[in-house]
Amino acid sequence: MRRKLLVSYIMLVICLLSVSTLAFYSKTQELYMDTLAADMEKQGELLIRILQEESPSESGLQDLVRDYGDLLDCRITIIAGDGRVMADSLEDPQRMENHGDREEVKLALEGKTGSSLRESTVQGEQLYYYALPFTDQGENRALRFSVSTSAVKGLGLQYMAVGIVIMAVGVVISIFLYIIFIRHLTEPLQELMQSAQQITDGDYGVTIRNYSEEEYAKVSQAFQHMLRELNRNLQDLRERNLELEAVLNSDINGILALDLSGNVILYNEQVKDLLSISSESLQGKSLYQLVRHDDLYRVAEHAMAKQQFRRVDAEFEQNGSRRIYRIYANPIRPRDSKESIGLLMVIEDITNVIRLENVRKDFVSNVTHELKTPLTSIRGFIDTLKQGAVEDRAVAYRFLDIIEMESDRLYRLIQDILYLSEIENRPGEEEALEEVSVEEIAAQVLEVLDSKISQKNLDIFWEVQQDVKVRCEPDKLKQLLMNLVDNAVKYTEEGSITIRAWKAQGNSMIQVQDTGIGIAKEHLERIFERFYRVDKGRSRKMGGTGLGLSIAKHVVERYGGELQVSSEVGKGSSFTARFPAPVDENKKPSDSK
Amino acid sequence: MNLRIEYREEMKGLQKDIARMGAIIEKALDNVMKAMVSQDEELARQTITMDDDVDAMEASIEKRCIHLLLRQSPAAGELRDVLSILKIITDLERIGDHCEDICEWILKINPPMLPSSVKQLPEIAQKVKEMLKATIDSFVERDAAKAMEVCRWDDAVDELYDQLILDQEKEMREKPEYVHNGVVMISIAKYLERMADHATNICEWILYDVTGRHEIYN
Repeated sequence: MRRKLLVSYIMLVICLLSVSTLAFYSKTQELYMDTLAADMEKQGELLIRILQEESPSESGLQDLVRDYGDLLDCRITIIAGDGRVMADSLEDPQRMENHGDREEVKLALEGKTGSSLRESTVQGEQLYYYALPFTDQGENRALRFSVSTSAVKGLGLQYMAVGIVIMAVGVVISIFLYIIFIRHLTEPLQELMQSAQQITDGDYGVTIRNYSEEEYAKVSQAFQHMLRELNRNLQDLRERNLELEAVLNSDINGILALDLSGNVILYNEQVKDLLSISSESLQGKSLYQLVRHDDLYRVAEHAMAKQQFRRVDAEFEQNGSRRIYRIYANPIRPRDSKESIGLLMVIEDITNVIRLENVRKDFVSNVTHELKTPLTSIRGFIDTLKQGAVEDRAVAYRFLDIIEMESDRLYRLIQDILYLSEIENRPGEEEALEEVSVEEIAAQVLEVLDSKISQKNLDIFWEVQQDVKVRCEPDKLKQLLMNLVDNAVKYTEEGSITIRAWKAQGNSMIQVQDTGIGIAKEHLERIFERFYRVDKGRSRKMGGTGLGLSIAKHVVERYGGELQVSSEVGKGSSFTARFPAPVDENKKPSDSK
Repeated sequence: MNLRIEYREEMKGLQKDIARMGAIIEKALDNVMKAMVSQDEELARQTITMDDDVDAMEASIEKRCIHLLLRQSPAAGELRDVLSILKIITDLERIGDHCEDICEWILKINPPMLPSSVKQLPEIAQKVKEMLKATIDSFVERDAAKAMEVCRWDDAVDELYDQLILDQEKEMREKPEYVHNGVVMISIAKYLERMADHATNICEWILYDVTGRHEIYN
């Protein structure tokens, strides 16, 4: 741009200067000729007056003309009315041809002033002729001056030379001016350009100078405005990105967005966890690169090919454990567009959901089974009684005893189920918690179970410390101990039952240990499940509902503790409940409510 | 700029399919391990049917490779891509076959293996599974260093295998009633060891594809 500007600048200077020089030159030439004509007119009038006064003879005329011609440094010719040359300052008039047909002479002889610029037949160069009329001796005559125009030509050449010099000087000055001017003009532009480049490279901290020129000031203001807007938009975008990231990451499900060729465009941290991906960033990586799972591939490809929502439950391995994931794959369609731009996959860990569903299903079928068994037996005996057994008093009583026992069992079962659902559904609130002495409750439990224990001839060891307390509802703790001790009594034929309670590191511990039949290892982790029985027939015979340990566990967990079991077949079992010890209100009044 | 759009699209599809074939085989091997430990006959039968998928995939990939060779006449690096895929799927298919073979042995075991004697097999199987996973990873990521690494793991598998043979031989000598079990153990271990060799072969072809040199590492 700079060169173009320079060239056009110089062209402009040259054009201007040459036009002005030419105009000046032609004007000067015109002026010169006018001056020449005026001079000649005056000289002519002067000479005519001299001629009229002196009125010389023909030869005297010749001398006079010659003298004045030398004096005025021009050629003077006097022509008679018929065109004959009477005298000439340079030539011999006798030998000169008739000048009557010359333009200026014709005019003069008619009494007008005439002038002409043409080549002389005598001197062979361009001459300027000027003719004046005068009368002498009653005859019209013409006085003619002729001057060489070479002086005018010389003037032209001089003008030309001066013009060229001026032009050269003009060009030099203009280049000089141009450099100053262009620097002044383009420097801000270049600065702006640099700033723009910096902004393009991502440096948004650029400062843009203010310029005094109006146009530049406007541009720089526009630039500053643009930079501010860019900065603000960028800030907005960053914030939106952070928000989006936060939203994505706060979803517990894994989110993975793929573009049309299966590369990741968006993801959250959970995906990496769920799919056990170790690499730092998933951006731009292919699904096939990240995970190796046929079901996942299939659901993604189907959803992409059919452009439809797809869902699949598939088994995955996460940190060595088997999990079931539900994968949703949905094509991403921008608003108002039918073409999808990719695929959104949401991965949900449903392992626990499925486990719970199974537990629920088992519970329902177990409950119905457990309820049906005593009912069937009751109905059977009633039927038998109706059909005549009622007549036999002894048999009838035996049957009624059985019916009573079974309905007791049914009652207990329903009681247990209700109890279980109560402690499951209302965790820990709206109940009167108090600090309960384990010693007191354990004593009550032993009292209730006394008859059962004495039937079996078991030793009871009492190792309960006096000040062990648990913050709970007394009935619940009683239920817990009742279940544990009752179980111990049920499954121990001979030997002893030990009841312990002690304090340990901010915990209250309660332990019930027996020397009974014990529980085999493979059953240990399942005995707290509802209706789980190690030996079904035996448990029923003992009148168990299959819910005792489940209730015990729920009670302990309700008060923030845990229930553990250790057992060896043939040697006995030991159940240990750990409760967080209640805060001593005398010692720490600030902690009390 | 690479103008071979059709070739590249087709190649991408092939690579995806290899990843998928790898996924199926990894799953099959996983099932084999589970079926072995838990004596799950149902799972073993199910795994045997998975081999049909693998065979079908091999046939389809092979066909597409040949089409690619004919239609696109690849040269240099592109030719290596196609050739190595052709070789890799053969080895992958063999691994799939071995999974099937092991499952057939599991169904034949009678009486069931004692859990203690089974212990060495899962160890080998775990190693082989890791090798297979790393092999497919290095194919997908075209990672020569990783492929080289996998080739070295083969020695560990061989060592475990040799140890197992020695142990089984000793046990069979001591307890004649154990011979049937021992034979099964050795057969299964042999298949696992072969799988590791196939994985090494695949890695060699990956190295060939990436570096242009084919060297034998085992």
